[in-house]
Amino acid sequence: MSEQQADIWNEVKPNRGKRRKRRDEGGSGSMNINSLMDIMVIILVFLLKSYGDEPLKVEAEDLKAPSSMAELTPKDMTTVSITQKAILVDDKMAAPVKNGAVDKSMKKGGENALMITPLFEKLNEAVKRKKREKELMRQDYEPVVTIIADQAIPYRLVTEVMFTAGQAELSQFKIAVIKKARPSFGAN
Amino acid sequence: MSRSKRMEEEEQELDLAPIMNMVVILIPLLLLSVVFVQVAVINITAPKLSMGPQSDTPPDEDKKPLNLTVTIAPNGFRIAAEGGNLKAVAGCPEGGPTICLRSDKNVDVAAKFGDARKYVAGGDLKAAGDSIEEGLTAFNWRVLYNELAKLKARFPEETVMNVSADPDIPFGAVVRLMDVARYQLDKEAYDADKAFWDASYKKVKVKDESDGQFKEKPADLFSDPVLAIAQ
Repeated sequence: MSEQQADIWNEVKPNRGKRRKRRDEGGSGSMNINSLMDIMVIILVFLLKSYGDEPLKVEAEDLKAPSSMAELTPKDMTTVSITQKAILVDDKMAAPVKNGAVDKSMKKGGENALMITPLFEKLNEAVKRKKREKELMRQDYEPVVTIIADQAIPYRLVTEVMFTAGQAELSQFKIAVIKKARPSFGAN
Repeated sequence: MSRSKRMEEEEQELDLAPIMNMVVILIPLLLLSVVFVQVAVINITAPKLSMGPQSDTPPDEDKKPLNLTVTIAPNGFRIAAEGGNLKAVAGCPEGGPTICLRSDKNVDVAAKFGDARKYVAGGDLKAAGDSIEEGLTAFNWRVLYNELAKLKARFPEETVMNVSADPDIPFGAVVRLMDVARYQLDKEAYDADKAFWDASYKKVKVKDESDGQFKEKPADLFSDPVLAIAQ
């Protein structure tokens, strides 16, 4: 320790004592918030990090993905969300959903048809965009789509969406689920 | 002396109040928006009717293909293999589904799923989820696993399973079926439900292609689900 530093050290110490005294007297001294700041900054960093790495939205007011014990981690790709109110392509509205089905006027060929026309158009756009994006980044394009469906959606609508995606040249599917441990399924 | 005097003046503390204000506002904001759920994905193959490029390889000619199809219906599972429906297992009525509902639960599955739809229409997703969950407990997943494990023993190479369901079956049930059918458990058959759900996956050592190391991986049962169109 150099002489100067020692000097400062000596200077600081009595200062602290003085401050404490002053607070005791009048209460106008500043609190020591350094440790509090430390904690806050750590929490902030943690929250910011967990905010960033959630690529898929699996819970919303009209959507709750089913639970599963699947292990694969999701990647960034074209997503189709089937909520109780709408079908979304990459978070953009494609077709409204009512009572677990889309209106038959949106389907090509009436009620029993599988093709949902507005969804098909949106998917085509999304595929084109993705292809261009991959081209620019000089990566290979994979025809993958992630389906995020509410657990109460009837199976029929899911197959319609998958059929439509198949028509839009998306042939590989991934289903997004909420991870859960196996024993919890047998709890009741 | 003059130097140390100036030091004393500079020793004034940094005013942290604005930073604190910002941090205190940011933390609740982020806490609210953060989702504490872990997301995973299940790989599946397209429905057979789709026109997209198929990744299927033609089956071996000389061996009769398994062509396993499991269909979920409100009264149980129908299993079809080798070109025909499997007969009902012991304890299930003849002519009904291959695996009927659990008799000890006495849950009306169709009614539960109907309730779920009503809750959804009313905007109560939580109640709908609970309803579906209750309906799912009536299915005999344990016997389904036992049957699939038997088929797997006869066709060790097969991993493809066609999954189908009646049009009204909620999507959650289909995902549960894929969960049960994906990997082999420690034992080939289970007698008690608790043991079945608590069981861990049977591990096999598989050579990793990237680094040549042997790694533990759950043994496949029918890990390649193909969703079929509901008729």
